[in-house]
Amino acid sequence: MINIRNLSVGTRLGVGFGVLVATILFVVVMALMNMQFSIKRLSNIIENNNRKVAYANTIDHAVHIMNDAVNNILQSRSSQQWDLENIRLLTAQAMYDNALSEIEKLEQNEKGEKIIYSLKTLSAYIKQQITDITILHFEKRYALALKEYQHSYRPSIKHIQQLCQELVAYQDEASSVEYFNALKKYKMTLYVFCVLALCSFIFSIFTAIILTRSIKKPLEQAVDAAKKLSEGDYHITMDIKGNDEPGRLLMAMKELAEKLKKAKETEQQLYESQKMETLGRLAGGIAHDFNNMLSIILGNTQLIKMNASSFDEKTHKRCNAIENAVARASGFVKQLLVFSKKQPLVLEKANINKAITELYKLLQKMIGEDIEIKLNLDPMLPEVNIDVTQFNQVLLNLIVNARESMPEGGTITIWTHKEEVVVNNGNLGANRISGKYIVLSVKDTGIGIDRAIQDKIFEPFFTTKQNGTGLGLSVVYGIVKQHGGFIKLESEKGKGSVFHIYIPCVDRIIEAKSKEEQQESQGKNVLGTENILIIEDDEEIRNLIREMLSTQGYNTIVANDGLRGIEVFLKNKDDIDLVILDCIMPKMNGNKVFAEIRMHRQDIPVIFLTGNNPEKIRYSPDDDKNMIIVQKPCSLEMLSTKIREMLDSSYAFKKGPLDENTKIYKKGPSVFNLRA
Amino acid sequence: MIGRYIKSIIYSFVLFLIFYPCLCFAKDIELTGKGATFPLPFYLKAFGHYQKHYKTKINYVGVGSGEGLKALSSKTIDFAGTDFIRVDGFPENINELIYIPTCIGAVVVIYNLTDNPNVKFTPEIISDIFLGKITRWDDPKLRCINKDIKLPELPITVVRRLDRSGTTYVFSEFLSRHSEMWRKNVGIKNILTGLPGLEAKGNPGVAGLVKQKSGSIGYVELVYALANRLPTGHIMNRSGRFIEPSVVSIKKAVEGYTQEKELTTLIEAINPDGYPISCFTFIAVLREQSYYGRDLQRAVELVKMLKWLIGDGQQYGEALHYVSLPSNIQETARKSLEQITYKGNPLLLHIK
Repeated sequence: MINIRNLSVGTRLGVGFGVLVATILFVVVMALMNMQFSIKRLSNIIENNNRKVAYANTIDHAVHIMNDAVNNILQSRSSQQWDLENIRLLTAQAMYDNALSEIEKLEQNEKGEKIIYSLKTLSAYIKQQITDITILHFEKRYALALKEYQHSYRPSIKHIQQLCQELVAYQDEASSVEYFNALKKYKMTLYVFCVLALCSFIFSIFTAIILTRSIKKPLEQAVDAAKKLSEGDYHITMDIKGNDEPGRLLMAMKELAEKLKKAKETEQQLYESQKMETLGRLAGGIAHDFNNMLSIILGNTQLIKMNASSFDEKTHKRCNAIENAVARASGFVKQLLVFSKKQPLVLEKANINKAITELYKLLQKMIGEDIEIKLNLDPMLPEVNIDVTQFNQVLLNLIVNARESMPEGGTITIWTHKEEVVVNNGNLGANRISGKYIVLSVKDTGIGIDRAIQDKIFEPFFTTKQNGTGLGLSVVYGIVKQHGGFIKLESEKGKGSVFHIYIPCVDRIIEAKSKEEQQESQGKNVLGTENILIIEDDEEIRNLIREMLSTQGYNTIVANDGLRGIEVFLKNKDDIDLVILDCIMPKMNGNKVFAEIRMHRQDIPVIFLTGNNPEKIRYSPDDDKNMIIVQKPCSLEMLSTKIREMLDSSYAFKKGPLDENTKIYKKGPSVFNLRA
Repeated sequence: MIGRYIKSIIYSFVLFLIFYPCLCFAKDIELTGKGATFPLPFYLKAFGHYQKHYKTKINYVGVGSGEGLKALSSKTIDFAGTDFIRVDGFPENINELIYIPTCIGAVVVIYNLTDNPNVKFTPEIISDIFLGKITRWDDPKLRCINKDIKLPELPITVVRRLDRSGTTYVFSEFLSRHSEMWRKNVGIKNILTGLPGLEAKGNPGVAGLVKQKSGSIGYVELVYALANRLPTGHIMNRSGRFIEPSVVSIKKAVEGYTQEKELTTLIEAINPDGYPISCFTFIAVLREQSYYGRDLQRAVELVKMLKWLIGDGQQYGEALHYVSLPSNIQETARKSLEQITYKGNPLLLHIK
């Protein structure tokens, strides 16, 4: 059967209406023709009948004339009269014959033909009789002629008249029968046409329904699809049958839905990666500050420990407990740093298979007996640039994750292979790049991950376990990202999960620096070489600051009270680049010292350190651009940053030269003589 | 013995064969003719008398001139009655046939109207009626020339001849001479086809049909009209007078007739009182009579009968309103009879 959906709507409607109109026209024309035919037939019957009756009457009339003529002949003795009557006879005979032949042409019935045959024979007979009578009469045998007339001619004439009456009567009867037959047929055909009309009506309705359905159905589908799309559901299933207009519309909608779906996916990916990025930055920031704080805690704890050597055991123990907690916290922070990709990579060419096999031995011991680990490694795997330690971390985290998802035991399958990834979502797929990758897949037969939380498991602190840190998979994510790769997750609730880790084959690792560079940058932790005067009565803080600045490359000179500080400053007033000044000190407080310094040098940057009462400082950074107030306790990190900022702004103010290589402003040769 | 019997039988058979024709010779001869119904009453009467006097039976059947000539050309009859000389459809017979004028009659217009009024007709009006241009009796054209009578509000039913007819030929020749319309549309024809109206066979048929049908009009020989008591139309002649057909008016027409090189059928009246559609009627015979196994006696009898018909037979025509041949035409007819031969010998010489 032809699929009408392959025809365009216009064609369908055209053909449908054409067929409809044609059918109606056909029925109407047929009905009219049939009516015409029936009417013609009926009128034919009537006309034929009328004609036959008329001819029968003519015969009757002719016979009457004949009789009259013969009568006249018999009564007349004039030969001229005889001649004229003879002509009348001739005429009457002609009328008779003419009517008879005409009636014969019209007659089709056996009975009628029989009557006509009798009339014909009688005609010949009567002609002969007329001839006989006239001859007898002409020969003046009048009696004989009269006898002939009375005994054979008159009965024949009467017979003919009777036959004529019979013919008329029969004609009436036959024609009425024929008329009824025709009427019956007419009614029958009328009935047939009624049925035909009904059929065409049903056919029309059928056609209309088919046409309407064929148009309506796909349009409804399209409406449903549009609704779904507007609600954000891009999983549209469409039944596209034909290539008509609605079919094309559905096709276009399907394409649209697919494109939207793709765009949505890409957007989601982008959103995910941005979220992770933000989280990473946040985590990194926190971790950094946290680290600083930890270092202060650790530093101070160690100082307490040093000072407490003369005190009792108790203090030592407490300090040790603090140190342990700090060490744990530090590990925690490290993990956060890994997630935020702040951990520097140490890249080397390595075979992942090798790394896995080495770790495998360790893993077997670590993982419970109820869990089996299967390896299926691709021997042709190329070497890639990875940080092996980090990679081990990834593998370890994944396996730990797998184990935790299988509380009742199961199988962990690890396999590797090479894969060519083609990313065709253009600029939107910010986190994936086309190219060759090696893939590490870890599969478990555990509880699986709910679809709803699949995109959250890599977020830090997201955990489904009671005492998990929520950092395991975040760490994996961070490391893989740092390697320029990505993670693909296949998971079904109740059936287990597969993590595919994609690591790019090429030496294309984002933000990665070579090993040497890393080491170099680690060694060079120098921030500046300027001369800094520290005026601080608290010895511990004074030493801490001093140590820190020394490790950062600065030259330092210290003073333990205000007077001493003024003394040292005046001695080296042209060489000192920055002064760190405590607010409250014996002998001479910070305000006085600051005033003394400003008397000698307006441009020197001063950092005021203050405890809980910054209001005691009489000066404000609003009045003097070259001073800031830092509240204690402050992190060394922050102090260091502030120092650098102050120095840089003072250089910018002085428009000193900028060293292109170190990006550090140089201030001539560093001749620094300590005259403490 | 047996040989003698056989011999005598053979002799007697031979003798029989020799004398049989002589026996036949002595037998009464029956001549057959077919054709025109125009002179039918005249022929029937004349031949009846001829049979009475000369014991020669003559069968004449009125089938129409065309049919008669057709039968003659197929050589199945002795003579044919015809009202026209120029034969359409028998060109090969033109020189073989001899036409002998037998009497003069008139083609009259008959009609069936109540009270039998005498309607006047001009040739144009007749032409218009038969061409179907005038369809009603109360047509202004008809009323214009018939102011003295009241024409009924009736449709005209035209009745024409169904067969090939001399009467039709004469009628159409007359109309062709006087009506441009007729000449263009019909011309001189022995049969009228493609015109409206009814058709009937022979003069009696037309007369019968007209007699029967009210409002009908037809054309027949005068005697048919008179015998059936049908009114005849008064027809305008060349002089512009409306003439009633009668023996008198036909005679008037014949009086002015001068024979041209050849005999024509239609006699156009020159006399102002002459009826305009008078005409001759003819008997056609084959020039050479020795056809289809005919013997000499039959041929002689035929010529004898024809000689009688143009001579003594003429008297029977007058009673039937035909007009006898004038003497000059009788002479022409006699000359025509001289041309009839049997195996090349003129037959008239054999007759006393």
